Amino acid sequence: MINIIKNTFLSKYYWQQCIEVAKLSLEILYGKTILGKFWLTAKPLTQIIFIGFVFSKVMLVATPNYPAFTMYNVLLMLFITTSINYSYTAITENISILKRFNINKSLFTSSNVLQNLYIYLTSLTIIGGIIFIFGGLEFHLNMIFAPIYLLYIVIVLIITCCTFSIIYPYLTDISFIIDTVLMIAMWVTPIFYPIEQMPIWMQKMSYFNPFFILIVPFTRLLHLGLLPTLNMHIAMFGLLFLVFMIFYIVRKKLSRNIIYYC
Amino acid sequence: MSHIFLKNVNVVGIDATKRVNGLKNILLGRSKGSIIGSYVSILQNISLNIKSGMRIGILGKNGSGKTSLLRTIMGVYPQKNGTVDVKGTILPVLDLSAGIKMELSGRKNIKLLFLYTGRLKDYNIDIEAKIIEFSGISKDKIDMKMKNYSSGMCARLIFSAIIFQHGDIALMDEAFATGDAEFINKSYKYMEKKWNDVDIGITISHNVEEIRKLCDYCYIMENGKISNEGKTNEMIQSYNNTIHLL
Repeated sequence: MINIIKNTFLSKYYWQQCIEVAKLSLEILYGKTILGKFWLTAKPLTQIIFIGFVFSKVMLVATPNYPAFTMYNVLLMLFITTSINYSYTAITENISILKRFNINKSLFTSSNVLQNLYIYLTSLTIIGGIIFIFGGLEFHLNMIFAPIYLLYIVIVLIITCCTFSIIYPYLTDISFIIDTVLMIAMWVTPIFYPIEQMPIWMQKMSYFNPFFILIVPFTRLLHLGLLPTLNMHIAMFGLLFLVFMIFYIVRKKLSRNIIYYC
Repeated sequence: MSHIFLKNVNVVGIDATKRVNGLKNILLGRSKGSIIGSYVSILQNISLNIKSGMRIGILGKNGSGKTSLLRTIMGVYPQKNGTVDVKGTILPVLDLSAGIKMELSGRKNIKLLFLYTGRLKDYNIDIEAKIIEFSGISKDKIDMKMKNYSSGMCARLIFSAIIFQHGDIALMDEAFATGDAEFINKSYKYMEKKWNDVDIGITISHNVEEIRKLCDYCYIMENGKISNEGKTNEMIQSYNNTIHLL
């Protein structure tokens, strides 16, 4: 276990490789389009405008500063879902490279998460800037802790995506399972509505929803300046431990022969 | 001092096409395969002891396991049992077109090949300029997307990007023939120099004269096994006899 952490997640060279692959992938992704990197922001901005309109004007969700609330939640949810959706095929799609070069099998998965992190941060800055201009963005002192919580999200996400990418060649059904889980998560996690609108029993149950643990503490910190409670910190640690243990077992059992299943 | 030491190595692949598919077939017992798939032997009982300074040739028909052996040495194929001990950095000169992204420029692909071979820290503007010059690709074309290159230009760039990298152990798989006649001639000389500079060289080629010129020791492979080994001239004779018998 120590070797996995040392050779992968704590290796400076590994992250240099990931960043380079992410940069080149972004170039391929947006290089073909006319508007280029404008699409980094255009797509989420459109989603936020329509979600904001439907939930505040049609469904009458009452929360202060709703555009900022939607932005923080929707962008983070998009970051998580896009990373998962594009990562589980990372090994299968790059198998011809993995068969010819002795590179870490998680390289493409991690770089995909970093690529989506870049898209997330760019969108957050630009859309946040637009909302700020229109006077709907508040700043809180506690926001200085945001990078720590974002780092936590990225770590959990990378480990989860690596796990899925190892399982996928053995069990392609996992793509449908992920699709279904993400669809459910989109509605049971309070990203379009405030947590206070959930029934008490559902709020308690949310501690077993990994998307709730990933998204809500971070977005409440940005939106309201509230630091996560002690219980939430315990839940966050529990989730990290759980995803790492699953990753460790999956890697140990399945990673060795994965090359033959792609 | 580099070395390659393999003892009783067996590499077993999995034929995933023989896996059971469909829950209905599993429950009704209709499918003949297993959940894992069926095992396929790739390499059997391979033992090698290659020391610093040796130049090794591997002979064998297509599908005899030559490339799989190189991939096992590289650490790409895991061995089922036996010992694989490789000391020294590997310079793979195999079929590297798989690493190319056609949507990127030639220049970006040079960097990508350095990244895949684990030598990103050796990459800099100077080496990039040398590679471009050696490949013979003009300055106005190097920043074009590689999908606009001819196959010869692609081959030249890939070859140049790899050959300018450093390693202790060169693994070459039919590496001497890329591009047009002029480039082949130029690259052959450079490859020979590279071959002499590395600590250990292993090459696969169907060109026996090339093996005779470059190697001092040879292995003949057949059906995933080493069927014979010895001095190059003796092995070439033995290999030619086997071919003529067929």
